[in-house]
Amino acid sequence: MDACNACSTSDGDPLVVVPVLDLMSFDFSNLPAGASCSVTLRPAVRVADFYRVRLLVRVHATTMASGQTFRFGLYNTYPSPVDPAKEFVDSTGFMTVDVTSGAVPRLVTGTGTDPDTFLKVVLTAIQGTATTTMKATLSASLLLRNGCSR
Amino acid sequence: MPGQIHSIITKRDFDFSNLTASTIEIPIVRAMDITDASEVTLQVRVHSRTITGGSIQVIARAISLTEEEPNTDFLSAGADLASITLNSAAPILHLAALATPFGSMVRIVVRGTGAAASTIKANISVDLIVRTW
Repeated sequence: MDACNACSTSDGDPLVVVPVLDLMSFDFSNLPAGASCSVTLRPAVRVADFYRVRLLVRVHATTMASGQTFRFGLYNTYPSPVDPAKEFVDSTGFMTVDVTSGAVPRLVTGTGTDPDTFLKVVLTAIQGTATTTMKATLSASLLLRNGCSR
Repeated sequence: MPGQIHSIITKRDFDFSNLTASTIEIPIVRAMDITDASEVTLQVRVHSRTITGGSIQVIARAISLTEEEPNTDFLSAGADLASITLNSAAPILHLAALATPFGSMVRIVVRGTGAAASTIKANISVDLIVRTW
């Protein structure tokens, strides 16, 4: 195995793909103008063993207008086994990936580094300045790995 | 009578407070295979709930997917298989049996119905209890 000169990791370092959203069709057309609605896709994905987090969003189909956004937000979280009813989330987002109107199919991605132990994955639909059709068929995965961006 | 509990979602928040008088459905599982089931029960645990107007429902619908057109949802136009309205104070357990015939796959959605100036949110977890005999 060859070691990377930049970060000393080797080609054999682990890489994990974690599905966070199986293909799903969302319809937020009834959202009032300017309003948003969020849904938690994964409350806590363990990422403690990894330095780099890449969110891959497949945009299978959309019926969207300019100004509408499907936002994937990742938040650091740290569940407690002795107090599992409570959610300990850093409200400062770890990273976001926005899906807006445009050609389909396409891939939308974003990368963050140095996450905490777990990540919460939230999808937020943000309506535009008018209530209009807002539909999307999406699927998404997290690509977890160590080392640099080689 | 053998049976299994399938976790559909672990405990999480749903907040429809931003809806005014409209309705939105959020799918939480696209299509779960229940081909071998003789009896299916939808089970909803309400961990917390603040609903001052409007409503939140958990609904089961018949769906079928096919490898010949895998990206298409073939949803039944018939009545919902089961529907649970979160209308009691938390913590509480809601149960509803799926009406027959329920086909080979089931979709679960959470439906929020808005009302002006209302808080409409709940923290729930959802299971399907599948029994065969």
